[in-house]
Amino acid sequence: MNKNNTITRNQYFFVIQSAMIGIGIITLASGVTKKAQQSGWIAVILAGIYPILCVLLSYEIYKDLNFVEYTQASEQIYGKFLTKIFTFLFSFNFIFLEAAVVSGLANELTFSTTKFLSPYVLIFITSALIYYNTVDGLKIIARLSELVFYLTIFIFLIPIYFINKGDITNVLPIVSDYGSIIKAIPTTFFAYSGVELSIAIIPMITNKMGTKGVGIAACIFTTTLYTFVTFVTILFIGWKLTSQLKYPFLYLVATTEIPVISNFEPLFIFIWGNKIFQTAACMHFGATYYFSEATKIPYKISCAVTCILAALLGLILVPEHNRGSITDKVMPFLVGYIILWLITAFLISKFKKVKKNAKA
Amino acid sequence: MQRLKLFFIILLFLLFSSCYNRVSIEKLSVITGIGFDIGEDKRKIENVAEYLIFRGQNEIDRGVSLEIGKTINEANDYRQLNLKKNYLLGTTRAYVISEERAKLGIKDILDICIRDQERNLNTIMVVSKGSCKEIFEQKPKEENTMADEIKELIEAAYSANFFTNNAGVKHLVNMYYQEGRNIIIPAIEKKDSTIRIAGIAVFDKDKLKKIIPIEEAVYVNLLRNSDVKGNIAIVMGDYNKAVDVECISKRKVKVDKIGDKLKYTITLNIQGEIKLNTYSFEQQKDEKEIIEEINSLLIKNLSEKLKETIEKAKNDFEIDVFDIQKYAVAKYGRTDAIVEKIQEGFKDCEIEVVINSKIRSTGRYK
Repeated sequence: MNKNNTITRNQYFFVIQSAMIGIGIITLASGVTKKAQQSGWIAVILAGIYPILCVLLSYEIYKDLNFVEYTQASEQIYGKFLTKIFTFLFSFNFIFLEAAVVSGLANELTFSTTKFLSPYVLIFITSALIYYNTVDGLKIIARLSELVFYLTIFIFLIPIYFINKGDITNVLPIVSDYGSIIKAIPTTFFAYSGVELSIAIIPMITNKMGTKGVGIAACIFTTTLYTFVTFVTILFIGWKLTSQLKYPFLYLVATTEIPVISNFEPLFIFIWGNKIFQTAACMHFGATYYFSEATKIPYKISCAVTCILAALLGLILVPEHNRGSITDKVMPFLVGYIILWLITAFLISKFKKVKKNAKA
Repeated sequence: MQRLKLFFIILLFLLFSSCYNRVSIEKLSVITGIGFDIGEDKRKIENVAEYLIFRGQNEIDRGVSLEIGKTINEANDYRQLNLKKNYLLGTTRAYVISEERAKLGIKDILDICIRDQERNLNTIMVVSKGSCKEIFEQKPKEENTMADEIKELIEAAYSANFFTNNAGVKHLVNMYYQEGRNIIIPAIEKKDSTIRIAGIAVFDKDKLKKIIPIEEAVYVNLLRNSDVKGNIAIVMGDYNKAVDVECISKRKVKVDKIGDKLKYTITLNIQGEIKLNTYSFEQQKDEKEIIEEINSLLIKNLSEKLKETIEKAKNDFEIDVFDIQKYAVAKYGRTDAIVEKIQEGFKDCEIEVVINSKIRSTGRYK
């Protein structure tokens, strides 16, 4: 195993949460309120089952197989041919996610702070930076994730500013239609995606004791943050306007009145951009890892190849409405595939273990 | 090798992320106030802008320009034909909508304030009796610009007459979009050579319905807002026999269904402080007795006035000016049969006011 690709247990927490929290936090509230109205935040909690399931099942699978590396584990479960296909699918999954995040960042920046830049230039520059970040392996990403987490943690306090400014009537009645909450869950998948990285990186953790707990902690942290942000957004601006805005959380940030600072929005984007960039880097690692495993091309070369692929895909997703409609269509399939892969792999690995025990 | 890569990436930033071909900052003008008005034929839009002119080091002057166009942004474009500098919209301090314009609808103003990313969401928005040009053409007395004066005026109103300082665009947008609510913003007017608050402007959806004059607006404010401050004067005869109570009011609203009608119970928790008392002046009464007497007087006086206001709101304004229908929507959900017709049903609903007042202090006098 490459020494640059090992991380500690705590770094696993930072990687998982930074793979999830990114562009999704800004757009999340819009989609859920369109479907579930004022109960949108409940849909966000319910969708939080998906990342926990992901982290839990992938840990169990690797535990049954004594923490061998991904390809080895997959070959033990699915055989050689299927592994090839699945690895390619995983690689595509991450390339798509990375493209969506990078183009999302470019769209958001051209919308707000850097109006004078073309989104294509932004995609080009971000992709180059992501390549530089990822080319030396997971260790650098994990360290940067940790740093960015501490740098951006005060952003999590922004919603608190609004708690006593909102009106409780905006979130009442708490549930008016149960069916609509279930329908709203698929719109949150993009915000929670990225957690699939745990399937690749669990074998790279050096001290495996308590990995399960750390993974679940990262998921709960993300879910809490998302729920909090969505809830406060609905509390302050009501579901009707939230469902019509492109970036509800940015609107919320723009309404803060802080002395000295005339507009908090650019400052927020400047700091939050780091976080989004880190999300894209995590996804790029996933894309590169699976791509090099599938094609047997060395890691460093496939890093460049996937970078170009993601940038090209990102160019297609450039206007925000385009990106929204495509991700909404593609995400349920990707999530469905990953859940299916995980559950099947989990059942087969359990079955194999029982068989092995019976033999012994 | 590593350093070369880093150098290459830094070079990328330098090459691609510059403000090349953009207007430099000393060539920018600052717009402080914008007025939305309508032409006499009620088709063309008049757009008034107040902007700052910088001459030399410490000389700041201001100018007012009026442009006519079919839409707001067309008028803005025409402005560039006259102004010698490029202007910024994000620094605007106040928006003023003229009464005529507001009566025809402010949908475009709401839309442009949210959609246009350059505009600030915290800008104050008021309705003016009379035209916007009238307001902006006056000479500012206390501030550099009229827009600043409007802003200060609205912000200062918070400490009296039970006004809130929720007059920003974000509050307006919230009032428009949240269910069971109506837009209510302060209205200003030209008085002598300056401006003053004339009352509150009530909107039905996006159209101005009525400007409530300040005498009635005080009681509407008291019923509408929570955590606000104001003075209640109880006059028996003339000013030689009167009581002033400075009140801080907090309200709670409860909704019930009686048959097919809604019943609202507004509970006002008032904390009072006696500021003037010529009613029991120099009378050797027990402090407790005075407090109880004034308290009962206050409740009697207030409930009379509030009853009047409610009757007026039901029969005259015919719209929920008290911001109470949102509680009905929150309690029964928007699919409920009565709630669906809530706007028209306001005339028939029952509104009960419960006043819990408490005199906190009698001042230096006993």
